[in-house]
Amino acid sequence: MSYEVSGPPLVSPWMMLSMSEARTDLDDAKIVIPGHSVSDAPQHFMRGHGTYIREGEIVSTVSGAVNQLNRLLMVKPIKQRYSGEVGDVVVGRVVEVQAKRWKVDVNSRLHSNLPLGSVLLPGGDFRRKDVEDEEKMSEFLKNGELICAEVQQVQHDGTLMIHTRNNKYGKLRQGILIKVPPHLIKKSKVHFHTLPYGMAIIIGCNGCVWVTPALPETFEEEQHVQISDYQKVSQEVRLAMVRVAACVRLLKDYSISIYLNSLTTCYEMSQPYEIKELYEQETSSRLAYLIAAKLLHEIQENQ
Amino acid sequence: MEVYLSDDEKLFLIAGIEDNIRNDGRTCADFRQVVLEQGVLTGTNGSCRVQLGHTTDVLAGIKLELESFDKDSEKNTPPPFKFFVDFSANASSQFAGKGGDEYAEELSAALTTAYSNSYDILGNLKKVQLADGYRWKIYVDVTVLQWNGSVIDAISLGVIGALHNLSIPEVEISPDDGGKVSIVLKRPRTGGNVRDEEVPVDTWKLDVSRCPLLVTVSKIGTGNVIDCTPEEETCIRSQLWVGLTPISNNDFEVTCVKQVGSGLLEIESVNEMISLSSGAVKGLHSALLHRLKTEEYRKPGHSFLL
Repeated sequence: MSYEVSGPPLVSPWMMLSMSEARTDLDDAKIVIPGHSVSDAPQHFMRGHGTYIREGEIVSTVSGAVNQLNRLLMVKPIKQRYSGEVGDVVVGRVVEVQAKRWKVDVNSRLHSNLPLGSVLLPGGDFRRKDVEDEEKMSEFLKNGELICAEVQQVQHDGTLMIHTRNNKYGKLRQGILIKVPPHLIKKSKVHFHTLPYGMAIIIGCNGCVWVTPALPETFEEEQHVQISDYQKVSQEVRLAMVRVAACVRLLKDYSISIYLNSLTTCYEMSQPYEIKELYEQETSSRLAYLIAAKLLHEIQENQ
Repeated sequence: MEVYLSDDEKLFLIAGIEDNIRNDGRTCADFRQVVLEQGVLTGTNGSCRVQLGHTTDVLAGIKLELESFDKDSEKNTPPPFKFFVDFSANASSQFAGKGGDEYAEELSAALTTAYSNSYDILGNLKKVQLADGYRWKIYVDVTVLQWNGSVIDAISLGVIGALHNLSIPEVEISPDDGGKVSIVLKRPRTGGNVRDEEVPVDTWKLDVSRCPLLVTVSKIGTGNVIDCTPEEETCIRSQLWVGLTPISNNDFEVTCVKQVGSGLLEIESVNEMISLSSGAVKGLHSALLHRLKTEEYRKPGHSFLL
């Protein structure tokens, strides 16, 4: 049992980040807020995303960093909802069962569509998706259930079409979901990781990180039976999962990007502390500072 | 922010609580870190802000008002406190419009119950009775800025913090015409030609060392849990609010027990839950008193607004 009543932190996360040298490569002059002028020579540049022309000036509509690609000027917003790219791995929650499709909340502006034809139904490939399947849709995926899917198509209004036509995608069972801002997720070739601590993690590109005892594909045999048996998670696995979840939250609080390397670094460095200590201001800020320094050092060495 | 969890997530969470490992690494009897700050609102006589686990955020402010009453018709002096709880719609979309009113009323009723015998709890509270027919009325207003579970715990901490921060002005009472009295704020005498209004008024403080703390104990699966997160609140079978007040150094007395929500409880589990909460309150209370004593005044601008 521990009880602690303390004052507000002396150093806020963003102050701490500016002390660590991780953000020095970003030029302050390139950061704009809505209404800021990006360039006063529109004849030389083309306006891109996040900008508009006002009285002969290119002006930003969002707050973010200015990017230049040849003659195209655009502003990349720092914080935004998940916009979606084809091929992204996302983790989302089913919010509605409709005729022939599920509506899925993937932290985007609009709910995504998961058509009945885009899922692997029990029974395998080359199956007709008939009326019977339509009637059993809510048996297969209910409201509130979590799924892992891939973005198949981005429609012009921003709606995402997703599919789970692979054994590694599909319904997620036991685990912990942590939501982080999508810009913290670093894109990589692999978003499914089985960690050497006896558990696995799915880092969804939409900012949903799923910590689970095992990846969906490892219990693919169970998928044939619709109602899989509940298996209790052992204590060691649970402790590892809870620690990884705490690591993800720590990285989120201090705006450190989340990918396999930062996560394992955080996990290893958090070992001397108890899990609940990772939520305490003093421990977490010190740890975050060390992690940021170490990751930065690694990046510099690789270059 | 409404929280949905799938059945499997709930099963995982419940099994974890039965194993005494919660999803954030705490054990069932652990509290999240509490951040407490006094004197955050300059327009009040006493104020306090409490943050639980970086998110649940509660602001408490106290205003005093001179009240006249008819001493003959009132046999027992009622407690001078008036509690009011308000849920900001920013805290959670479920409180928008009149959404939080019912819950807020329940919370203020629970606070009133816990402070019902306040003349025994607060040693020097008698002093608010100024003269025959006059007393200070203490309005305690609480607003919930952010909601992330166990709001009543945070509110009770905030109320104690604000009561500790409260400075009640000293007054001079002199008899006046027609059996009435005149009440004048007391200012320390100073030499020179300093104008009276510029001299700060003498004040006195309440002794809050025996104020009641309210904690929520929830039954999840077969385990009893303290300080639930919203995710855990979706799995609750039944919940108790327990108010405890210290009577001596290490002894606590239950001042109110209230069951909230649906679900039934066996009398054995009620006893278990109360004993768990008294253990938690013991630790929390000593940590709170320590913080109240050692808090240093921070320059505004280095406060919660930043």
